[in-house]
Amino acid sequence: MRDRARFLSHLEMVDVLLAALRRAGYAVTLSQGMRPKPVISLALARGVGVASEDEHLAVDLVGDDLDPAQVLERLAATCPRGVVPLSCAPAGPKADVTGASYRLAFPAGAAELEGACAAYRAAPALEVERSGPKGRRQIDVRRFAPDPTVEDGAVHVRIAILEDGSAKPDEVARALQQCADADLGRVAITRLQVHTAPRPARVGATETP
Amino acid sequence: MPSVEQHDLQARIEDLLGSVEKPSRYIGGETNETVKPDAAVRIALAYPDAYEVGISNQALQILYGLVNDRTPAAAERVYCPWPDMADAMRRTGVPLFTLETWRPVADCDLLGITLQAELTYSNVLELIDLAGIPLHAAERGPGDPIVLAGGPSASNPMPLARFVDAFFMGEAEEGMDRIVAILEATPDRAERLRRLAELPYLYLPAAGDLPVERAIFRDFAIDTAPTSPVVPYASAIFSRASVEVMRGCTRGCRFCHAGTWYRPVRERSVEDVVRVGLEQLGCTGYDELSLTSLATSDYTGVERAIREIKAAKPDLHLSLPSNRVDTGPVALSAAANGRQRSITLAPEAATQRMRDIICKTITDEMIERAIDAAFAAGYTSLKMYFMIGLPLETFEEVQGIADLGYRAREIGRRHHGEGGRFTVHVSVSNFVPKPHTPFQWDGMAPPDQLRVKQDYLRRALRGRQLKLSLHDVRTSLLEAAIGRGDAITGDVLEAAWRAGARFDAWTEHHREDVWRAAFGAAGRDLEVEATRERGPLDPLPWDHVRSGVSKEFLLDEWYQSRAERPTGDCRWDGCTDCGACVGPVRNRLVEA
Ligand code: SF4
Repeated sequence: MRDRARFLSHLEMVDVLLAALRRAGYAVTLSQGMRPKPVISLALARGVGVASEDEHLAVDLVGDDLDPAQVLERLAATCPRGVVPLSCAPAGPKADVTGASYRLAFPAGAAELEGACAAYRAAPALEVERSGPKGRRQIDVRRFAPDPTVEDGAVHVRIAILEDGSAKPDEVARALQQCADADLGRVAITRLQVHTAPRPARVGATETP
Repeated sequence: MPSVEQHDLQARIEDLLGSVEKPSRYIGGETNETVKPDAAVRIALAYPDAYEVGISNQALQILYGLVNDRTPAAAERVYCPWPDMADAMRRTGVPLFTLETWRPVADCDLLGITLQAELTYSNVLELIDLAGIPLHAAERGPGDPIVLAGGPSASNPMPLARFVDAFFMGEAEEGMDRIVAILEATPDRAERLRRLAELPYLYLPAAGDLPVERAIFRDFAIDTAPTSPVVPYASAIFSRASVEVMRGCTRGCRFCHAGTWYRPVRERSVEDVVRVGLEQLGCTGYDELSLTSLATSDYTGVERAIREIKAAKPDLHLSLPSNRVDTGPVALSAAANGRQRSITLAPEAATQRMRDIICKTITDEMIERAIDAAFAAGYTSLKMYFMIGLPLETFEEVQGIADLGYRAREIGRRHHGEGGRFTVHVSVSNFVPKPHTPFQWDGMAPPDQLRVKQDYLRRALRGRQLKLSLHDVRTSLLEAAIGRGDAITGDVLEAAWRAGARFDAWTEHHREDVWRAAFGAAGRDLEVEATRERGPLDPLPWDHVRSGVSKEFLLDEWYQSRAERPTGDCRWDGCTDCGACVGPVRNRLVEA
């Protein structure tokens, strides 16, 4: 998801992908119930303005024996500008998203970024404010993203999803700014990879005869 | 290769997008967008409202396809930036840009603005100003784009005459090619304007109020219908494929502007409609197709078109807007889309007397039968449109709306049970007189009267399964005051826009105080303008615009309305000599 397409919201992107699939000639399975919805999910909602090199789309297409290579090829032809399908495979066993890696590109030089990262890593906790529909609260971003480093002149950071939530990449960027001596400038965020792990078998579920 | 300047502008736009509401309004890149970066002539096509409203407009989609597919020129799109974006653009010096290439609108050869509603006029000024083009046509120079306006509201060009270089009257399908050819032929702005002035359907205010004729797209050939329209991002108000099956309507409702402005009736063949409809579905990925026109149930080929489309795509949602009130159309809607739960009927007036006055030739019995058929077909939501404030209205007409609402509920209960889950939605708007209609001489009803009637309806029509919605009197008032305005209305517009008016159709942005003050500053009064009646001999500001329908015919229709006599439809009841048919231009119906 590149260039201007990054300004699409998560829901707009799902819509764009659904239309692209239909144009490619595929029908998406509908859910059961009073108001059937297409069975489609785009993992880990992305903030508006965040570019991405790795998005995971799971979708249930109508039909048997669909050829993944052909799906990919057709979809590549029907996606709008900036949305590039990279690979396609039959759905495997269920996996959970455990986190994602990001590149935070600042106008500031590598030395300033190194300094900010070092201070960030040394801090015991780093709180930033998050305001949402439920009001404002403080988030300790360091718990989710302990280890930002500088590579190729930009900050790379992995943000974990824990039981009690996660941090957003722009929050990590704000925390980095707090740790910096000078203004780092406006950040450009790219999601590099979504990390997943096989879903663990449920513990404690016993079968009652 | 984008130049350094362009690159810089793109970076500055991206900077803004991080902090505005719905940035997808400004990014372009939708499916079926056309980009022609190297075209010598560039045309910006603008809709003076937000992206989600503008992208749903069919007229712009047609022009976009015409210019891009059939001429060497590039057409790019522009919508009015929402106030948060507009303010940010002014703060940072980012000029209005096109969605396709993010290049400044001021660098285009032509800025074409469609006028679909008077309440977008303040946004017309906003667009011109944000583009960095001098606001007044007289102040523009060789480097500025030509500002051209078209669309139905251009039929009274006077309120915008000072800000627009040229107005296109009527249907642009054929004329657009000629305009592009002129732009291609000469780069000189003054020469371009001279040549444009020679086209009979263009009105150039600078050349004086010379007669100008409405262009009629005689063939209404299918090859101008978009086969691969731009697919909007999720927020659009309409997101569906659509084929215009017919243009024009001769039912002759006396309040209706389109009923004059698109005469005569021209139908497209069922084969063409079906082919283009299916092609569009393939190119867009939509799962809904709308067969559009002013009254699709009047389209002679409607049943066959539904049958053939349904045969090809059994699961498709097929919608038929603007249904006539009768059992036939209700059955058609049910056949077109079995899953749809709601249906709309537009009796417009609830009493026979008023329907005779406005020339809506349906009877009480037909309305009841239609309601009955709708509930019988399983619809659970029935929406009915009415108007109040029509000429010669008495309180009985208002009471009639409430009565009909209850009557519809009674019929609904017969089908769905006393406590059944269904809604009768009564929607009541305020009559606004329009130029080029038999009611152009009438005034809007005084706002206080309208409010009393609205209050009455609120009290009279309430209860289970009933829903009432009323149109804001303030916006109707403004629409009426601008719509039949003259050159001085242009001063009012400018003053209001300078004082912050924009997005007037959006309740949250409507600033009545600003408009009242602007009318006052021009020595006028908002209410007086809206309610002004004119005599048959009074000159009208739009007299030089020839719609093809004669003033004598309109006046005769006005007299017929005072005699409470409806007029027949010339498709079936014989020509009434309105004047629209000349030579090969005439009503053209297809085989059923
Ligand atoms: S000229 Fe006659 S046939 Fe043609 S639109 Fe007018 S009334 Fe109808």
